[in-house]
Amino acid sequence: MRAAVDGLWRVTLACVLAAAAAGCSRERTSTAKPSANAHALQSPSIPALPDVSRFDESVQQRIRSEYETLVNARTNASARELSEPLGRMGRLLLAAEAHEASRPFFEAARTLSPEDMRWSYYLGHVHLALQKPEMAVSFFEEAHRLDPRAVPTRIWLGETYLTLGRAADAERQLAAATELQPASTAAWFWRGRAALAMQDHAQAVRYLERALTLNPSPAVHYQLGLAYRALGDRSRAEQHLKHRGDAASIVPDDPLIDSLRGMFDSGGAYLTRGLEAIDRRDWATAVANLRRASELSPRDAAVHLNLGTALFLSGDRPAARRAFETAVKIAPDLPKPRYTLGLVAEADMRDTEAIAHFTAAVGLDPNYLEAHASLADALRRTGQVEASLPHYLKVLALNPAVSQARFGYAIGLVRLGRFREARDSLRDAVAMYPDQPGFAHALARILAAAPDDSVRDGAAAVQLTEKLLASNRSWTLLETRAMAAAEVGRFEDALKWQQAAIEEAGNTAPAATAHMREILGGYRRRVPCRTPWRADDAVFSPRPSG
Amino acid sequence: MLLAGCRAGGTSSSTASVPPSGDWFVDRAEASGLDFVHVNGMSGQRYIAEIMGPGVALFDYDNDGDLDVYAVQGQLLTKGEQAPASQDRLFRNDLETGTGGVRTVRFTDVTASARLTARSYGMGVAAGDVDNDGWTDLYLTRFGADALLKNNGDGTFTDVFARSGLADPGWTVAASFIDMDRDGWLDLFVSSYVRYSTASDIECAAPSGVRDYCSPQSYTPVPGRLFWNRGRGVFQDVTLNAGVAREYGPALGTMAFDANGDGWPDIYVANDGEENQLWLNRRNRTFENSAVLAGVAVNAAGKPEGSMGVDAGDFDNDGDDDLLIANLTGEGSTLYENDGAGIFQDVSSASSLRTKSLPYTGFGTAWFDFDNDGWLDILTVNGAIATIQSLAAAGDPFPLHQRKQLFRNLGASRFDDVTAAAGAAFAASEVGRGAAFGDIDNDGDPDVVVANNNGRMRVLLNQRGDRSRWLGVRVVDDARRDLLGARVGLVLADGSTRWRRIRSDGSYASANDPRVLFGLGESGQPARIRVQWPDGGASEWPFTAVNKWILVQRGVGPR
Repeated sequence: MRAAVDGLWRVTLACVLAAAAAGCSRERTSTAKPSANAHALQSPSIPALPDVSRFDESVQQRIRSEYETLVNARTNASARELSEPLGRMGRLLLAAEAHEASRPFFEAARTLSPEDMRWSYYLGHVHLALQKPEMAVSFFEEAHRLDPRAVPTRIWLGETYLTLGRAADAERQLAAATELQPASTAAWFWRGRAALAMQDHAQAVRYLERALTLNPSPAVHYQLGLAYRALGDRSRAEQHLKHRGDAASIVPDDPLIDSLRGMFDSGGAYLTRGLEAIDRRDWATAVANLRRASELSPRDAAVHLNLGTALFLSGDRPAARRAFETAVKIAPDLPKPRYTLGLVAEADMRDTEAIAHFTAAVGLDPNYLEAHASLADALRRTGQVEASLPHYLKVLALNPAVSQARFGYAIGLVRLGRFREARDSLRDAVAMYPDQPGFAHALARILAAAPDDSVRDGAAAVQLTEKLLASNRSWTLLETRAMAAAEVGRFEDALKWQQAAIEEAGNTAPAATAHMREILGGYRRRVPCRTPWRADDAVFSPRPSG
Repeated sequence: MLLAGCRAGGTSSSTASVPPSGDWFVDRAEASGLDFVHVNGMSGQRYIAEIMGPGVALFDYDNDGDLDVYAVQGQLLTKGEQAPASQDRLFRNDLETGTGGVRTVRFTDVTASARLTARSYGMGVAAGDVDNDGWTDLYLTRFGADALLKNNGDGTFTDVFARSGLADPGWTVAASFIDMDRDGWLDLFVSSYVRYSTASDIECAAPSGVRDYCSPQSYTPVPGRLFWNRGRGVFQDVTLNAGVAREYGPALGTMAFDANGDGWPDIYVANDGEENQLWLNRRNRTFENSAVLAGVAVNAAGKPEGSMGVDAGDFDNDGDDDLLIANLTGEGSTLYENDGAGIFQDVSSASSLRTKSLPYTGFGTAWFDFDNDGWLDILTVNGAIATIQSLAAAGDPFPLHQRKQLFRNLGASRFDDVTAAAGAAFAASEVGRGAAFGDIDNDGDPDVVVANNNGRMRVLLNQRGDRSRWLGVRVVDDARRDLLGARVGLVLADGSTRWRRIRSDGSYASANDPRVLFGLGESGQPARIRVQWPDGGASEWPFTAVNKWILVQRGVGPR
């Protein structure tokens, strides 16, 4: 069935394509001699209104309205004039991503106004979207013939040739594009990609380095990395491959495509734009688009949720809270709005409220990892340490790679005085996360200063801290080193390390120095430290960063 | 002649000419008694889980020399009554060879006698002998708690998950058995998709505002788990120490193969919409992700693809395994050519594979030489994950279906879409997901079982391959355990060597025939057989027979 439809389509297109040059159909006659065939031009057929019932109401209205304009225009406009509303209808459907539906409108516009490259150009894009690159090439080639100086056409043509594995054809188009518009990142970038496809890696490096100077985007870096890799320059390759981006993000300045944006006033369209802005970390634009989306789709919980997220990220927590509350009202069984409300409350230091929201979230979704993690931290922060532990364990059951949960669990055990379990947990964590020194540091503190005699191991603490100090230096680490020295009876060393810690803390954490001096006094009296962390140490009160 | 000259040492003569079209594959599901219809449990809520299964396994559960079928079933996802008879099913292959060598495949549903009773929402299946008793066991991935079915050797299975040391990794789809430390016990890598429950379901919409299935990016991915087999099928979770949780995405495909030719099995993980990982084996039960430098994290455009099915095979007969990945509509299948040292180049466009697969969303896929010309071809079963508007507009109640595609390897790294010539079985439009590849009728060419979402399972018997010469090889150890990870090289009389890997993983959520087939064209003549054993050792024997299945047993040789 599908093959048959495709076959029929090819026949139709063949006629349409032929129409541009000489013509083979009723429409061809019209377009070939517009002035001599006025009657035929005055009432040409227009494509039927596609089924738009599946679209947002606002999108439906906009399309119906445009179609009405088109139908009205048929009675008054010449064929050439009619190509404009036909094309507008095509553009509208293309903007709505109704690619198949847009096609006949562009075809009709193109037939009536064959010298206008826009319609061929849009048809090229329609066929790209329909995953028919061979057809897209035909239309881009036609658009290029009609306007050889249009750089976007050359670039899209080159890109589509690459899709088809026609690298040499791509290189010809893209070489011309770089000559016509030497400041175009897209032209140099895609020429670089063509060179890569042709295995001409040295040229690829030249073109892509040029593109990189114009636009240091991750997409350019990645292609450059591939080129250097092929040349055997592993060091440069790795340096560039660290940045990875999709080649599709490198597009030419393209007024015809840009004009499609903003054609719709639908909640879905604004939601998409809002999410794109969030991806770009452009909070203001995100908020503006999502606000509009919420006006157009007031009952869409996802819209309010995303609006709340954008507002939260932009720093407007009161407004974020209102948006999340709206989402909860619309979808009370959805755990995410509850969780996000918890985050807002947490940021506002309203821990009790945050705990209630996080609890509600995990009640709605027992496998909600982030909610369990936030709930555990909030409980621990508010002194409900025992209650926090099951939530940390749940996080680890859901994803053993979440090291923060393992740390929170171990520190929770410390807080409860369960030093032996804390030590064992941290020992496991040190083996599991060799690249995270925080675990080794915490373990060293317990080994050096835990009040439980059976837990302490001063020699191991010295060993751990020496290893850590080889690559890090902080006042907390220096203090731990002092604790370890004291534990093995080397109080002179302990005094030295503690003095160093106090000096270091004087610059970064002066409030901590008073307590440190007390410990220093203990070392002078040859009394080792027995409090790995002060009760008010920040380690016991985890706050979300940022 | 020109085409043959481009190849890397093959001797087949049939590839340059296109085989005549016809029913190269015929669906024998109904005739063979494999009556299985998948139930995805859809209720109109568009839960993402309902469109992701199922897989299927081809494995010889009763060691009678032919491939049986394990069919994975779904459930209703909303609270309420179970769909009738919706549970996984096991079909025994009672292959008959009549007079004149005519083979008849007959499947018998032995689910009840095998004591398979669990009703869960199944996703996929992996096959391997975890306790080295010579009987193939199954690992079941699920939207829900996974299972490890121990094959008791008496026709029954027991779920030993709870006592095997395995931990539930959440929603899983693909799993691979891999002897990562070459100690003779199969370890297990299980990939996870996303953290999702129907309670956490969110509503997603197409740009038009129409409700549609969400993408995995709407949810949080979960790292896969690596379980070390301490012996006798007792596992230990070594995920963190092995380093394989350092990077992860929503995984749908896994593949264990030796990417860099160092003799140690590596793991490739195909993620849906995020970068893929290539975990290179550091030979100490730890792994390092080398996907970026290797060039297999993202496609040639630098874009992470919606990767689903995956397979590794030597499509260009140059001695290393190349990667094939089935992706979303608009992305096309990806072909990464291996330089032998683990550096890959995306040749999807140059090979024509990408362009021809652009309109389809591929799931189950594999390298297989359907015409036995010595060059690995490709079959992909397709089915969209978002509403196909043209189908919806026509009132289709489940508008995701697409037809399968068959690509013939033309040599010189080029592929031709020969779907239209492959017969009526390829004209059907279905929501394809899993596909298991293997010689079901033992006639020397690869057949395919296709698992359709919310549809009937298909048994595509190959009618084309047995027109050429062939050799089938099963590689086992002294316990007659299939030696997954071994590589078999068939040295031909002209001095060229073709390599195939013993594996059951790959494709999508499915388990394949662990035996390998060598297509020899019209005149290919073997001279010797080489085996690279999973522990790094190697053996070689003279061998000249064709058109038969042979057993290569370690310490014994071919027979």
